Amino acid sequence: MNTNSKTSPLGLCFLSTFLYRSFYVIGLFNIIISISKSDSLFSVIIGSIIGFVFLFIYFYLNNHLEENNIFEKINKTFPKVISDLFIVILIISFMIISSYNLYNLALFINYNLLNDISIIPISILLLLCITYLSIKGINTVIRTSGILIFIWIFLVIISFLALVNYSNPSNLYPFLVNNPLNIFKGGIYYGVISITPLLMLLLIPKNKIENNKRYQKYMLITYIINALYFIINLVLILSILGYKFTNILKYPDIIILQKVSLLNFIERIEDLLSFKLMFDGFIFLSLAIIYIKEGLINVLKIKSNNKIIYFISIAIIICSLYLHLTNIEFTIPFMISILIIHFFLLIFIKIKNFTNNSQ
Amino acid sequence: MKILKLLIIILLSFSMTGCVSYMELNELGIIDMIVIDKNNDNYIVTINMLIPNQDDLENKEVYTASNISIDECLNDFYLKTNKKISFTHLELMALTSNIKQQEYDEIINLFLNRVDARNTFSTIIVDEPSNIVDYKAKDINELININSEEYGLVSIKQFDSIIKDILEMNISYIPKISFKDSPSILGYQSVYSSNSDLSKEESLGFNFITNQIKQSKFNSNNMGFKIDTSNTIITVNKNEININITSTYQITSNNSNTQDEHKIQKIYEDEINNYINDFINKNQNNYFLSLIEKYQNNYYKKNQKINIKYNITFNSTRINNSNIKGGFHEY
Repeated sequence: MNTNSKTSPLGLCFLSTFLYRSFYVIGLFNIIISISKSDSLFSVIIGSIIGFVFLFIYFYLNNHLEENNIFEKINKTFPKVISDLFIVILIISFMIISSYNLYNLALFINYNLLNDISIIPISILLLLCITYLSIKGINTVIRTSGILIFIWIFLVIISFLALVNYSNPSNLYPFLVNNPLNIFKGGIYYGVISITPLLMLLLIPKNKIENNKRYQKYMLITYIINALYFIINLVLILSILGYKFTNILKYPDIIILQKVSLLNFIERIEDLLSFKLMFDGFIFLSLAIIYIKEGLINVLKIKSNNKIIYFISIAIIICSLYLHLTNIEFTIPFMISILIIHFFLLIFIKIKNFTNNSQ
Repeated sequence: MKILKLLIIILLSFSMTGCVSYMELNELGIIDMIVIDKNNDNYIVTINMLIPNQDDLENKEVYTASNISIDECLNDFYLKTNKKISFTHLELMALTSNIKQQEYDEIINLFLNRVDARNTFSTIIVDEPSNIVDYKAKDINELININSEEYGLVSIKQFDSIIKDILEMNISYIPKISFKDSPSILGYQSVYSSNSDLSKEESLGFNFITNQIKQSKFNSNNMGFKIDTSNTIITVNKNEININITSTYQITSNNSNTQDEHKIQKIYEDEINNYINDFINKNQNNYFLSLIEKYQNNYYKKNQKINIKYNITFNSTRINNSNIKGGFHEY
């Protein structure tokens, strides 16, 4: 990363929209439907509110020690042993989450686009492009997300306009018939899974962000827009398929995209439209590799080198092909551990500030 | 960096251009119609494989296989054809009345797990499975489509909506077509939890309840009616179901002495009322039960036996033919 260049807050907002949805098609949607069933809508609303709490952890940590990235903040806050331990946990957690993401993204591509090609060549090709993007640095990832967001918006608008006629509000019923604990559990899953990838943005120190006073406001608006998008998409899928049918499908998004017909003669475009679902994982993995690289540099005290990125990419692909992680619940403890570390950091910073002020 | 770029270019050139799992288009056996029947313990599966050539773009070959499962039947086709079976362009699935609940489960599992199958193909019930292969899938679909838009007896039933119906109501209604002499639509047939044929009146009643009437025509008391628009709204309150039908209609012929507007409207509404009552009385009330389960879930859970009460109301508007451009003036 060019140390002198500053990042635009709008670019970071574009990047964050992909991060919120990193796990959307590869598990988040399915797990919410399977837990909350017909009350998934309430889970997402509760989850969005819980997400605000996590978002404010991000804001607080971002505002503290403005010139340092997350690893430097941990180093400055905790004793060396604990800070190294926390950084190692963060690296391992993001490694596991990235492996899950890569494997399931490859599965998604295999299932929908490249049926006759096995997972291994798909994963390798995907990771080669991701590695190339990671080598180019975080600013290139932000610029790429800036380009992809316009393609994504275009595809989303086409899909929505073509599908809205198929929706039947009666399919959303029944409401509030499931165990409230399950609805709440679904909400927590939504909050944890959608916010955890966002914490990777703490890699960028606040003083490297242009016009950083407005940054917080922009991020808040982006979060609300993303939550609304998720709610609208959920309503669209449930109102077309009903929750019982949605619950048995692996990729309900693709099933509804199969119905898209533009002007009654442009049909069978679900392969093209499904690209909007792949951008999220692509951007997440590029940023995750950079995040892990920075973590390793910090903990091992080595010089920044592209070879580390090759090493991380190889480790991720081996991990993903060896572990075959297909259940998103496996990644939840790792995501929670990431959130707990950030929460500890927040608490310790608060305590330090309090003791400093009292002295 | 240069090595990585080179590696990407080499790998992309080998994979993205189709070198991996390379297959010519003429090696694919594109299926546009599948017919599934069951005789004793064996399935009889017939497929219509499109093999276009320079002389005949609609050239096709028909294969039939019989085995204990549909999957085995599909495997048996590879004993007869050198093409890879592909369901990507499947347009029509025809099932016979011999297909029962267990077989439906197998068919649903098969098509949900096949990555090459889109679940948006239409499904019909046939009485003579051997004759259907003489017709084109798109012609049969068009037959149902035209009927739906002009007469309203049946509507296209896509496979995914059958799965949805079965999951939500344990019953689905599929258009039934006879192929004895020439294709002829008979109405709907209920499948899964009960297999029974619906008469034309019951089929129309079902379409009214499920708001699938686009246009329709019928005769009553020597009068011909044409429905131009129809919209059904159902509200559920515990075990009470209110069906409100808002429609516009015109009279196409009047051979009776009735000229009174109120009487004409009553004849019109009574006829639709009869269709709906025919459907409700002669068929299981699974559809209404599923509505109560959906909208009044707590009431549904608390009550073991639900005595369903229903009420049909109409909001009908007659359009005079003289108001219609090009219509005949009646005096």
